[in-house]
Amino acid sequence: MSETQAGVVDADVEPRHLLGVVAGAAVLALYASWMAADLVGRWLVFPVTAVVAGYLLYGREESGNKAVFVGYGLAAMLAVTPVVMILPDVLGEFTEGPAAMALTVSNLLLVVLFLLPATALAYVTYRFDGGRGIVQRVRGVR
Amino acid sequence: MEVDRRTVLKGGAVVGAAGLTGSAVLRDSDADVSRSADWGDQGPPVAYESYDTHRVSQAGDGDFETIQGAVNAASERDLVLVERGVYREEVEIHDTDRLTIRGTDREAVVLDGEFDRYNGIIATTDGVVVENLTVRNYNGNGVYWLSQSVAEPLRGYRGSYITAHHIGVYGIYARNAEKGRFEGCYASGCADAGYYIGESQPAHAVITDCIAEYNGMGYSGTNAGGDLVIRDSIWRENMVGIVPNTLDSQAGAPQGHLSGGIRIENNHIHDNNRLNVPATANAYAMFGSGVAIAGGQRNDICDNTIENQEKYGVVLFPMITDTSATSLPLRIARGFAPVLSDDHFYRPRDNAVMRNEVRGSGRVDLALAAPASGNAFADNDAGSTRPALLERRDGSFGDVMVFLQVLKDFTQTEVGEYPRGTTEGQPQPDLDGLHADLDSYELDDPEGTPPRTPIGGMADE
Repeated sequence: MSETQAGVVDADVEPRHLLGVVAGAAVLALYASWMAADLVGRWLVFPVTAVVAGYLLYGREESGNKAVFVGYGLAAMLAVTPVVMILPDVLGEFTEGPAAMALTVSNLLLVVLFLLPATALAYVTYRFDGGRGIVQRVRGVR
Repeated sequence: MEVDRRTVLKGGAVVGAAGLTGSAVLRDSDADVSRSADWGDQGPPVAYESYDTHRVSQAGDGDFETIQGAVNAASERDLVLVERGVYREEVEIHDTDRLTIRGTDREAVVLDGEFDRYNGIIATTDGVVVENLTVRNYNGNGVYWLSQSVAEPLRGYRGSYITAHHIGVYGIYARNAEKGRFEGCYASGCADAGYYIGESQPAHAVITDCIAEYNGMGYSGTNAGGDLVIRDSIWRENMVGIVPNTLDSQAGAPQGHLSGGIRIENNHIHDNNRLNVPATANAYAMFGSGVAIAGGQRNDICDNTIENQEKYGVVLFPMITDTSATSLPLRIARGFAPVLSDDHFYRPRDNAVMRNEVRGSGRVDLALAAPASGNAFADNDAGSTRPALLERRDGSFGDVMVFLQVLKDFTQTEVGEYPRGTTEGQPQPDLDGLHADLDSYELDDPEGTPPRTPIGGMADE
C-alpha cells in the first residue's frame, strides 16, 4: 500500500492482475450459477462463487496460474453438472422414490456426456501447466 | 496505481460495448396475446326445430335396447335418448349427420368397454353431439370424432357433460375436425391424454369447464391450432398438464404455423407430477410440467394459475422426435444437422406467455429451451426462470440446460424403461368432488331439451 499526497490510500495492484482475477472469477461464477439455477438462486451462487474464486485467484499473480485455476475449476464443475441436473428430480415430490429417479440409463449417459468434455478440459489444463499435476498444485509444491 | 489515458479509453470502450450488447439482449419483452383475444367466441348452440326421439332402454320399455340400434334407425338431427343402464357396446356413427346421443343421467348411463372393446363412441360424420353420459374401460378412445377424409375435416362436434375414465388412449378426442366444443367434461386414467384436439388448423374449437386428472397428459394437441381455446378448466394429478405439440408423424407440422396456435387461458394447472399414471413416451419426457409447448408456434398462454409443478410451470422447447427415423442416434443426427432450420427439429416460435401466476415449481417457474425463436414472456407473477431475466430478454435466446433436460428424458424412453402406471390401476372418479369442481355438472332437463347444433352459427350447415 502507498499513501498519496492527498492522503488517499492507493492499492499497488496491477490492472492486468485485477482484470485476470475479475475475469476468472466471473467465468467460474457464471457457470456455477447457470449450472445450479434449478437448485439454488443465482443471486446466491453467483456472488459466493465469485468472491471465493476471486479470493483464490488474487493469490495467483501469474496469468498462467490463474488460467490453470480456472481450467481445473471449470473441469470440476463440468464433471458435477449431471449430478446437479439430476438432483431436483431426486429431491422432488414425485410418486417414484429417489433411487428410481436417479438410477436411469439416461442419467448414466448424461454423466458420460459431461465427463468427456470435463476430462478433455482437465487434460488441456494439465498440459498447459507443464504436466505438474493437480495434487502438487493443491499442495503448493512448485 | 498508475492508469494512463489510453487504458481509461480502452476501459470505457469495453464498458460501452458491453452496455450496448446488454441493453440489446435485455430489452423489454413485447409479449402480446391480443392476437387471439376474440378466439372461442362460438355463440350458443341452436335447437333443431324438427327431429325424432329414439329411446334406448335395457328394461325393454324403450324403442331400442342398444344405442347402436337406435343410431342405425335415426335420421339427421334426431335425438337418441339413453335411459339408465350399463351398455356394453361400441357405438359407431358413420352416416347420420347432426345426431345427438344423450344420456338421461350422466352417472347412471354408462358405456362400458370392459377392457375388451376399443372405442366407446366413434363419429365420422358432421355435427354429432354426445351429452350427459359416462364411458369407461375402453382400450382405445372414450368418445372420438374424426373425418373420414384426410383432405376434408369433419365439421361440427360437441361433447357436453361426459365422464370418460379408464381409457387406453384418449378420453375425449377430435382429430381432423373443426368447429367443436368440449364442456363440463371429466377425463381420467387415459394413457395418452384426457383430451385431444389434433391435426386441425384452424380448429375453431373450445375446451371449457373441464377436468383432467390421472392421465399421461391432461391435454395433448398435435399440429392443432387456430381459434382453439382451452379455458376455465382444471388440470391436475397428471404426468404433465397441457401439451400443444408438433409431430411429423401427423399432418400439418409444425403446430400452429397455419392459422395460429392455442389460447390457453384462465386454467388452474397444478400438481401434474404423477409417475404412476398410464403414459406414453412423450408424456414422460415432459413429466412434472404444467404447460409444455413442444415445438409449437404462436400459442398464447395467459392468465392461468400454475402451481406445484415439480419441474416447470411453463416450458417451451424444440420438438425432438422425428418418427421417420427409427433409432435414437439417427433421430438426433437428422435433427441436429439442420439444427437451426425446421426440418424435423421444430423450435418453439412466436409463443406468448403473459399474466400467469406461477409458483412452487421444483426447477423453475418459466423455462425456455434453446434453440428458440421470437417467444415473449411478460407480466407473469413468477419466481425463477431459465434463462435468467426471461421477461427482459429476447425470446430467441433459450437455455441449453432446459433442452438437455428434455432430451435426457426423451432418451430414457428410447434406451430404457420409464416409470408409469396402468389404466386399470387408476382411482375411480370422485363424483362428489366433480360436482364441486365443475361449474355445470349435467344437462338440466335431458328429456325436455331439444337436440341442438354443436356450436352457435351452424344451424344451416
